[in-house]
Amino acid sequence: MKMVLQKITFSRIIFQRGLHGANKKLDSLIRVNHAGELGADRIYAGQMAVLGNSSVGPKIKEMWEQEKVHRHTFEQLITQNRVRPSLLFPLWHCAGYVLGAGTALMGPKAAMACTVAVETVIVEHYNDQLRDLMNDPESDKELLETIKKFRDEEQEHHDCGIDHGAEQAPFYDALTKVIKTGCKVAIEVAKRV
Amino acid sequence: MCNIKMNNDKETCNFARANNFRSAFRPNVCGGSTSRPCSGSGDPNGNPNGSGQLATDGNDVGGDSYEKDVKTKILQSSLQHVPRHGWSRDTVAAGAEELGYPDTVHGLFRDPGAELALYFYSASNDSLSRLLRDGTLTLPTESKAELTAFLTVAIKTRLLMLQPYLNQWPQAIALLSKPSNAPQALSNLMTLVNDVCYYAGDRSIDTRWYTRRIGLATIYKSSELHLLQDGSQGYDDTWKFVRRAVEECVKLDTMLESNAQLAKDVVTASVSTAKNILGLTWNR
Repeated sequence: MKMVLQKITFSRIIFQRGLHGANKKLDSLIRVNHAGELGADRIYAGQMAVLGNSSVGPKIKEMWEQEKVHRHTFEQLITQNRVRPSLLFPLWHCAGYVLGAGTALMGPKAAMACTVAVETVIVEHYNDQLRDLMNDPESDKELLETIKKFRDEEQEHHDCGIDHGAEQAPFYDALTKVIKTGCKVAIEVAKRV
Repeated sequence: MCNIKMNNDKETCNFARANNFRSAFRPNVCGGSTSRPCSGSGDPNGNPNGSGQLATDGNDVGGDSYEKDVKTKILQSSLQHVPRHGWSRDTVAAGAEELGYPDTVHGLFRDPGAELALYFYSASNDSLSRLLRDGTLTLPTESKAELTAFLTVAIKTRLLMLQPYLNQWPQAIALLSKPSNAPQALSNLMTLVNDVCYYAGDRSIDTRWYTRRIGLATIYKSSELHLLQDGSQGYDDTWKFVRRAVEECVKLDTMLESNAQLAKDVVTASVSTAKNILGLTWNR
């Protein structure tokens, strides 16, 4: 564990000290949000690959389009602020897709349970960030509004999942717990690496 | 005369260190030629670069921007003495003396020679990125040839900044690769390649962000070594070497990109083949 921690600080030294880069907090915030939206985009892509033609297809497609906008926004923020993208980009890319497709294979309800779990964590995460940004008088108002808007949309996705019978999915409790924990770990990792 | 003076300096220095010179020094300076407040901690004109490029000293209590200013000034004026004394304590002492500080002021620095080298490194990085930002070096368009030319010119410009200190640079490299200084030196190098990549138009947001920067850092570092033992007229050999290396790197980058696309295609194709074989095409 100690070794891992040392490595993380080491990578921070290497990649986070630019004269022109964003400050450390903003840097980490944009990186983790981009990684998160990338993962979300991929989850919906995976669900669409399996459930595209089923009855929930259009609903998933609608949410997917919103996630694509989110992802695109954070991609722009990365280039604007010269933020270092997450080193684990390929991991988030694959893991998102596998999670989406895997739960979709268990049925539409399990897919919705996955959506609910992921969105719960993301909404919590955005709320934490908003609280942080509101406490900081120098924070970027535009960014604050963007995150607020995204938070509301993620909340809608969460509610939509519940409406589509997420709670009737097999092993709902265990499934969401596992996914939530995974997402939380991924967030902590993406903040740093 | 000079010798005696030098010996005296050293003795004073040791004495000062033993008496916690760091805290004893500051009031002294404040009473001197400068009129700035010496509170330090309350100074709102802090370094805007919160990352603390120059605060290499880990023991620094935060907010000492006044001390940082003094250090920067001293290091700046020390640079001209590098060809004479190398990257050493004597150089910093000579630079301090020129500004009217007592030459024992180098006690402020944990490792005067290395900090001087680090300062020079990041100051050169800054001037390069200013050049790039103001468009003094031409910005590349889409074409590969122009990108190669841009990267070559950027690396060449940066290497030429070392020219006045070329004979002493191996010593600096040795100092910078000491374990205590290596992280800071590496971070400086990464800042350099990050700036060059950015102004070369790199807007990648995936792993290419990393491969490009690491590639460029490798080129820069090996060109630097090449330059050190280059005896040719006007360093022609080195510039040729840089050009070749950049060309290869640009080629490799394109190849990686097309390979990634190929890999993606292969995966998609095999997945849909597997689906067809298993009769799973019901969803499409």
